[in-house]
This record gives sequence, structure tokens and C-alpha cells, in this order.
Amino acid sequence: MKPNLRVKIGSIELKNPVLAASGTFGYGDEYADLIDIEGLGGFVTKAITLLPREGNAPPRTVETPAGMLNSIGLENVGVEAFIAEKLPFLHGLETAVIVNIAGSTVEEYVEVTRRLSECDGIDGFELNISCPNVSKGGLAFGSSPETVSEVVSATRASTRLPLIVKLTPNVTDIAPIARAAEDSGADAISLINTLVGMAVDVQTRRPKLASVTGGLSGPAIKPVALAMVWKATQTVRIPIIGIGGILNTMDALEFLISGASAVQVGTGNFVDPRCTMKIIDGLEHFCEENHIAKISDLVGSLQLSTGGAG
Amino acid sequence: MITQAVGRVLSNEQVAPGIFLMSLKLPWIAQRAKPGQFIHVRIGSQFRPLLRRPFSIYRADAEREEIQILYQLVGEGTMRLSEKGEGEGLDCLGPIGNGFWFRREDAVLVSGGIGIAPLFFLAEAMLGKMSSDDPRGRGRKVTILIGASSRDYLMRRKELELLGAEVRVATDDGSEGYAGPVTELLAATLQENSDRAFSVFACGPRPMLKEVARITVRRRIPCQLSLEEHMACGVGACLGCAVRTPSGYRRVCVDGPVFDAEEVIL
Ligand SMILES: Cc1cc2nc3c(=O)[nH]c(=O)nc-3n(C[C@H](O)[C@H](O)[C@H](O)COP(=O)(O)OP(=O)(O)OC[C@H]3O[C@@H](n4cnc5c(N)ncnc54)[C@H](O)[C@@H]3O)c2cc1C
Ligand SMILES: Cc1cc2nc3c(=O)[nH]c(=O)nc-3n(C[C@H](O)[C@H](O)[C@H](O)COP(=O)(O)O)c2cc1C
Ligand code: FES
Repeated sequence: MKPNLRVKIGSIELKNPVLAASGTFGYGDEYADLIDIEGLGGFVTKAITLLPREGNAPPRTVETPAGMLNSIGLENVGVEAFIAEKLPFLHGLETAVIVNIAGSTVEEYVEVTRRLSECDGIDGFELNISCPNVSKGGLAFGSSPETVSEVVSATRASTRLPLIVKLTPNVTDIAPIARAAEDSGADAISLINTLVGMAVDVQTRRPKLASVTGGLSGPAIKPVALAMVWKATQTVRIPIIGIGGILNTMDALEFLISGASAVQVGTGNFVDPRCTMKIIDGLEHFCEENHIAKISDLVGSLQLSTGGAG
Repeated sequence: MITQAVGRVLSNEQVAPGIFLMSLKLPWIAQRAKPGQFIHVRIGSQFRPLLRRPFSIYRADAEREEIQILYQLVGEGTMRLSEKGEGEGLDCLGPIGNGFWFRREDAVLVSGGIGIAPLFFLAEAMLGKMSSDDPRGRGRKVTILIGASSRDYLMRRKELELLGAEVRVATDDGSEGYAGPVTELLAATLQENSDRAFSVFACGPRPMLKEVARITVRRRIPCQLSLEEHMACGVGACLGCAVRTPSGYRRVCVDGPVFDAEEVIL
């Protein structure tokens, strides 16, 4: 018998626990020729803001040891153009479509969520709270429990669709942030977004990114992500989606075992567009070989030593 | 349409100091490639390098189902690429990008350094294939201006002459041809041919392209530039490869890499 890969994130039913991460999968159509996107558990769109955003000056990406830095700067078409031009392709896709939402003010998050909630074809929202909060001097919404509560409860009130709150790792302690998201009505938490990083060209003595600093992603951040996912699972009861440096089945399994109900693959799509497909096949294989009837049995199965062994 | 395929390395040889020519068996890509398009190559199997590297298609032979890339050693990725041996497999995405567009007009091609790679393919397409006596290119004049740091780096000159292109050379150190930047040679060529209609096609370092754009736009000569930018996905999804245009940023990978000189702000 084939193992059951289905998982639930709030009320979103996923056919398998593997999603493509925001900003790495465009609006879905970019990868449609290369993989069967309906084979995915789901995918998260590039961040959508109220108005179109131009994004940052190039260079916007640079490779670093076992990872990369990016500073795209939330370039996107804006919510109205998204609805008119991008949503029709997503509508009716046999995979979960989650729209990533960003803003500079609480009102912007609310407005974008409200507008998108009027449309068909969206299975849920992911709030990107790594964005600078203009009214708090540019400090990220996700950096304090108070601002997290503020933006999550306001957005919660503006939609009935499932709300996933995506946490930034650039905080002192993830636990109170995760708790604030749960207490404010989040259906699930996803983490981690990118870590702040930087690279310098020693010949020209210039930063390698035009924006000086950027977001670090890829295998380099996987241990950090895993530790934060584990910490979050110890803190909240809502489902957790693990993100950070996942390139293969073993990486995905580490997150599931540590308590993530599902995972997202970001940079891995750039390395190999078939990355997600290979992981899905690999998870099925792993379950078969280990006689695991359903993948959800693996979630949170981390064995903590009680001191006896070794 | 972009496809993903493992190409078998047929050969991989040094053709000039630090410059390699690689042939790959890639049927699907070889049959569809247009001049100016590129492939996005996964060089490592682990983390070094992690991301793919873009290379212009230097030649495509549909019958033999082969493509070639001409590449320069720059850093870790290209270094490891040069170590690939015959028979090894290379994971490639392609063909990517819009490519050059051309009709039957006369053309001046301007190459700086490794920028020769997509222009060779273009010259070949404009003039007809080298070994065949296909009369496609007859009657059309193709001039190619090759710029290099010194004579050792002047590549593919004989092959281009065999194709029927008029070849002019500029070297920074004056070891051969015009002593100075290839853009000065372009200005002189445009001056000599001011009574004729033609288009300019250029690929090379950013400062060179900037100067080519300045020279041609001022004279209202149609000009296409093949641009380079750091790339992550290579398929239009990450928005990492942005180039500025009067109407906002565009993606070099799938909106380009070839742009009209008037369309981009370099
Ligand atoms: C559309 C396109 C076509 C190209 N065609 C050719 C070609 O035909 N022959 C050739 O020799 N080179 C070509 N290049 C440049 C080639 O991609 C780089 O030289 C190569 O990526 C360097 O990798 P590296 O690891 O050796 O160097 P490193 O400097 O170690 O690379 C570090 C990072 O910077 C990026 N990078 C460095 N230089 C460039 C560059 N010039 N353009 C884009 N990214 C760069 C790398 O991809 C990598 O992510 C092309 C680039 C583009 C965008
Ligand atoms: C080029 C790029 C663009 C991204 N854009 C977004 C975005 O718009 N919204 C968001 O919430 N996260 C964005 N991210 C973060 C990823 O979704 C993911 O959280 C992060 O890259 C870590 O996962 P990874 O190591 O698998 O890439 C982006 C990441 C990259 C590399
Ligand atoms: S490299 Fe990702 S959009 Fe061009």
C-alpha cells in the first residue's frame, strides 16, 4: 500500500507536505514547463503588496558558501495586477495556492488580504512579517511580539481564509514571537525567512549587493532553521511549516521529525527545478521502506535522549 | 520553452589562455537554440558551486544534436567546469532567453572579450553554416569587430572569415589591429559606412556596452545588446537578474538577455 503523504495546515489539505517557498517560484507559471506543479503539495507566491513595487538596484543576488544572498526588494506587480494577470493561471490548479502578503503598515496588510479574500482560487495567505514597519522606524513587524500581535490580529479580522504567519529569524528569541502569532489567531506558522547577511568584493572594496546587506538562504542556514522550528514546536500548538536550506529528502525529513507538519523549498528550486519532485518521491520511498503508513506519523517524532544511552 | 536535460560532455578543450570550448550532446536544445540564447548549467553536485552558471550558446548543430559553449575561467564555477572530462554528464536548463532578432539587413557585430560567444552563433546564422554552401547569407554584409586585451585572446577569427564575415580587430595593448578600445573601431566603422543602413549587435563588458549604446543611439542606428547579470533561477521566477529600463526593472534571463539599446539604462 502506498504511504499516505497528506497533511493538514489549519483547514488547508495538502496532498503532500512539500511546498515551493515565496519569492523562489514566481507566480507558478515560470516553472510550469519544467515540472508538474500540480504534483506539489502547494506553492507560495512572490510577496504581493498593495501597490506595485520596483524593487532594489542590481546586483540583487550573490552566491556565498553553501548559500546565497538576495535583495530583491519585494518587487511585485501589486495586488490589482496580480488579480487581473496572475490569478487566472492559478485558479483551478490542483495544488494549494498560498499568497504571500507584505506591507509597510498594518493597514496595507489588511487591505491586501481583504481584497484578495474577495477572489476565488486562493487557498490561504502567508504573512511575510520580515518587512520594515514604516510607522516603527523601519523595524521589522516580526521583530517584537507587540507588532506581531497588531498585524496578525488586524489581518485575521479581515479574512476567513487560513492565515500562515511567516517568522523572521532575525530576533533574539523566537518563542514569544511564535506565541504572539498563535494568540492573535494565526492558523499556522512558517519559518524561517532569510537571515541578514553581507559579502564584500575585496578588490573593489564594495559590497557585493547594491543594497549592502541582503537575505541569506540555502543549505548554510539549515541548522539555524531547524533549531528555530524545533523551538517553535515546543512553544505553540498550531502547525509549523519548516523552511531553510532544504535541498533533498533527508533535509525535509529532518524538519518533519523535528516537528514541522510541512516544508517549503526555496533556493533548492534554483539549484534543481526538480528538487521538490525528488523530495516528494523520496518521502514516499522513505515511508515505504520504514513501514510508515502516513507521513503525519513522522511529524514531531524526534527522539530525545533521556540520558540512558551512550 | 525551457527544458532540463543532462548533456554528455563530448569535448572540453582550452582554445586560448584561460578560454575553453566545450561540446555537449543536447538534442532538444540543439534543435531549438537561437543566437543570443543561453543555457544555465549546474556545475557542482554539492555546494561548490551551489547555483547554476549561465553560458551563451556558441554554436548549435541540430543534425549532430550538439551545442557548444565558449567560456572563460573566472572563479570557482568556471574552474570546475574546465575540469569536466569527456563522457561526464552536465545538468543543463535551456534554451533560455529571447535571442537576437534580425532580418536580412547588413550588420555590424561588436565583441568584447568572451562576448564573442553569442556573436559567433549570430554571424553563423546570418551568413549560413560554415561547411555547407547554403546561399542564405549571400548579398548580406556582416562586419565583426573583435576587441581583446591582446592578440592571444583574439578568438575565432579565421572561422569568422571563412563564414564570409569582414573581421576587424582591436587590442588594448596594440599587439594586433587597432590599438585601443573596440568602441573606437565601431565609431570609425560607422563613420565609413554612414551612407548605408545596417544594425549593430553587441556583447561584452558593461562599460563597452554602455559606450556602444551611446554611439548608436545618438546616430539612430538600431542596436541590440546582450547583457549579463547575476542569476539565480534563470527561468524568470526569482527577479534576481534585474536590469533598469525606463519602465521599471526587467529580467535579463527571460525578458533578455538581448535588449534594444534604447530600452535599457546601463
Ligand atoms: C546570459 C549570460 C550569458 C553568458 N555567457 C557567457 C559565455 O558564453 N562565456 C563565458 O565565459 N561567460 C558567460 N557569462 C558569464 C558567466 O556566467 C560567468 O563568468 C560565470 O557565471 C562565472 O562563474 P564563476 O563561478 O567561475 O565565477 P565567480 O566570480 O566565482 O562567480 C560568483 C557569482 O557571480 C556570478 N557571476 C560572475 N561573473 C558573472 C557574469 N559576468 N555574469 C553573470 N554572473 C556572473 C556567478 O554566476 C556566481 O553566481 C554569461 C553570463 C550571462 C548572464
Ligand atoms: C530570491 C528570493 C526571494 C524571496 N522572496 C521572498 C518573498 O517575497 N516573501 C517571503 O516571505 N520570503 C521570500 N524569500 C524567502 C524564502 O521564501 C525562504 O524563506 C528562504 O529563502 C529560506 O529558504 P531556502 O533556504 O529554502 O531558500 C525569498 C528568498 C529568495 C532566495
Ligand atoms: S535569474 Fe531568476 S528571474 Fe532571472
